[in-house]
Formats: sequence, structure tokens, C-alpha cells
Amino acid sequence: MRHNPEPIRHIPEEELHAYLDQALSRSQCVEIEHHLAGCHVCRAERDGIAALRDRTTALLVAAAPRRIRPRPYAHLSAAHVERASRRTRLLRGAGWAASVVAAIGLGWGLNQWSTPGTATSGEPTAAVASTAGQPPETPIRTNTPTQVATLTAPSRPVAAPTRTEPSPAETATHEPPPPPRPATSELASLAGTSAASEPVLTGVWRTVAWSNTQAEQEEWVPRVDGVPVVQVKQRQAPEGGRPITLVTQILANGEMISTVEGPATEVAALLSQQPGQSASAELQDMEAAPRPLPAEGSRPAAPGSAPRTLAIFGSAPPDSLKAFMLRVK
Amino acid sequence: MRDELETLYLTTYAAVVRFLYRKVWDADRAEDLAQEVFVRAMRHRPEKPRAWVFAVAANLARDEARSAIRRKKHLTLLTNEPTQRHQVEPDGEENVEHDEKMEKVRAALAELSQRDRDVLLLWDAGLSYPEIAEQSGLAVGAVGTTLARARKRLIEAHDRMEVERKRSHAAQS
Repeated sequence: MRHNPEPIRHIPEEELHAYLDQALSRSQCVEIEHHLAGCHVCRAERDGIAALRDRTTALLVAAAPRRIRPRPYAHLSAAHVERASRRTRLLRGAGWAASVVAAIGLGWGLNQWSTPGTATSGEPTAAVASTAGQPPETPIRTNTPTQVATLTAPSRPVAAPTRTEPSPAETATHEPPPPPRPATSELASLAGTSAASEPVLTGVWRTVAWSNTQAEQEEWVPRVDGVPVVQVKQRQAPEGGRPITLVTQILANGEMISTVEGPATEVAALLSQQPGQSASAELQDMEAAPRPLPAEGSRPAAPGSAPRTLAIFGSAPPDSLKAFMLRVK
Repeated sequence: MRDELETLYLTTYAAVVRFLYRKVWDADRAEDLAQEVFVRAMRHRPEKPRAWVFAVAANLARDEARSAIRRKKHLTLLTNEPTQRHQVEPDGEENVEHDEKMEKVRAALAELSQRDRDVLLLWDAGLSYPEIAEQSGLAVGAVGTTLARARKRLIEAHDRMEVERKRSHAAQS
């Protein structure tokens, strides 16, 4: 009577694949070969898998291009070198493009800003504020609009939000802003005037280099922050002291705005010369407006610091000029 | 002295083209993508260049598949050109036979699951089990199982098509 042989553990299929793919360790291979030598079932299985494997390879060989023609390695190196230099150029270009994008973004922002929904763009207007004997350290607040003129006909320039801040001491304690008053004067004589953006200047003005201006004025030139400066002009103030300065800047839409800062009377005179009686009319009104505003804690201006005015005028809606006023540096 | 990458290029380029061809099914495109793979390798200088080039090739092929719909018209034009050219070659008959074979393999491969197909193609490209495992996300032990299944299914699908083709030929005659 024969003993039943112990049930033989046959080699799993995947192990035979791995064996034929030479993906097993040497000791695993020895073990499998030892088993195969004594197991005809596994030998048959191995042969079947070997055939399957060979057929797979044969099929995949058919799934290949008829010809493969590798280009010389040198071509590849050349392509690599060319691409590397292109990348360098691109990086340089990207820096340039980024600045252009930034400029466009800025322009777009300003454009959006300068054309609020309710305002009619392209109307020459002026925003005026008085400053004291020294430049404002902080953006001028809009809490004292003394005049707001509304346009009575398209294309007629108007004076815009104006405000008076006679001395820096007073700017600190202003009451909440009174509501803007309606236009006090009909701006009649300006039909056909397209823009007040190009300032009309009388007297001896000198064009100043941008850097020189900054140096002479201790780094301060009245201007709207973030808008390209086209021109800076100065004229001697009659009483001496800090000259009257006019800065022309160009907006993204091509329109010019001008910021003028100087002794109140000089600025008023300058504005009165601009195409648009509006400016002078408004200024006259402004002169008539209570100044200094009756504010608590107001003190007389320091001796020698004559009232000065800061004004913006240009072809932009009053709201925009008002907004620019906040950005005056 | 020969650069390590140059050696890899000389020994692996054809395998990379074949690997890509079985994914994009366009010989010119496969060669272009293979060139791209090696140019990128020159830039990156990978630590394990052989596994790296196939990983990048697989990614490029995947991107290619994504844009296939967009380029469908263009691709049709491209694939039409070589066919027309080959028809006038003297060994045209052989080519027709080759194309028929290839179409069957292509259809059989399409019946495999994505993973089975990827593992099978990577194995055929000459990658080791650990390399295949790394690229496919499988455990090394699972590569054999996957390959066993993939091979069996490919042959089964192919043989089934053969039978169907013979049957339809018989029906026609």
C-alpha cells in the first residue's frame, strides 16, 4: 500500500511570469528550478507561459513604426542648446512683459477710475485744494468740498470738487464734510472748448528735469501718484519762496491732467487763464467760501506761510479728479 | 568619452519611440515626442535616466491624448500622408499586411485596462519590475500578476479578433 504523496504546492502563475522575465532573485530561481525538475504540471505551465510571453512580444513587435530613424545625438544637443538660450530670452522677455502688464493694469485701473458710471468723461474739470506753506504729508482729505459744479452742456468744461485747506494746522480737526453745494454759476463761455488738459501758461516758466525738481523741492513735486509725469514746469513766486509748480501727467486714455501747486493767488490766476471760465468762476467762489473753515482748534497760519493752493485740472469727470486728489503726493 | 545620456539615447531611443507609438499611433508624432523626451532629459539630467525617460514619455503621450480631440482634423491629415506615400512603394503588399496586423494589435491593446496596458508596454520597453512598479504605483510583487493578466488578455482579445475576421471572410466568400 502506497502513501498518498503530500499535496504539492505548484508554482503560482505570476511567479512563473516573473521567473521567465528574470525578475526574481537567484535563490528564488534556484528554488523554482528545483521544483520544476520534479513537477511536470509546473513544467507544462511554464511552457505555456513562455509561449504566451513570446506571442505577446511578437504581437507588440507588429505594433511599431516600420522604420525608426534616430537623429544624430548632436542634433539633440543642438536643440537643447537652442532651447536653453530661448529660455533665457524668454525669461528676459517675461520680465519686460511683466512690466508691460503692470503698466497696462495700472492704466486699466486708472481708466476704470477715471470713468465712473455716472460721470461723463472727457469733460474738462478742475479739482482745487488749498495747501499751506508746505507740502501735504498725507493725502488731502476730501472733507471740505466747497464747490461742486455740474455740467450744463456736454463738452463744457466745469470746475470740479474743490476744497480749501488753508493751513496744515487746520486740516486735523475739520468737521464732517458739508454736502456738496450745487453749481453756483452757469459755465457759459466755453462751448466748443475740447479740453483744459493742456495748460495755458503766462509768465516765465521753466521746464524742469524730473530729478532736479525732486531735489530742489526736497523730493516733493505735486503729482498724482502712479501716473506717468510728462512735464514739470515752475515759475518764480512773486513773493519769493517756493515756486509755483505745474506737473502734467498722462492718463492711460491719453488725456492729460495737470496738478498745480503754489501761492493761492497765483494758482487762481493760472486757473483763470485756462480754457474755461469755470476755473476762475469756481475759484472766485472758493475765495468767497469761508476760509479758514470754522473748525475747532484752528490756529492762524504760521508767520510767513502764505496760503497755497493745490489744484488739479484736466479732461476727466469731477469724481475722477477728486479721486486723483486723494492720490496727490 | 561618451556621455551617459548619449549612451541611453543610442540604446533606448527606439524603445521610447515604440512605447510612444503604441500610445499615439502616429509614427512621426512618436518620433517627435521621443526627441522631446531626450531634449528634456538633457536639461534635467535625471538620476535614473532610463525610468525617467519612460515616465516623461508616458506623460507626453497622456497630454497628447488630451489634445487629440482638438487636433483631430490635423491628425487625420498627418496620418493620411504616409499612407498615400507608402502605397506607391514597391513593397506595398507587405505594408498592407503589416498595417492589418497592427490594427489587430491596436484593437486588442484597446481592450486591456489602462493599468494592464501601461504595465505591459513598460515591460516590453525593457523596464525592470521595480521600475515598472515605481512608475505604475504598483507593489513590485503585483507587477507579475498584472503582467500575467495583461498578456493573457491581449492574446485572448487578439485570437478572438482573428476568429471573427476569418468568420467574416468566410461569410463574404
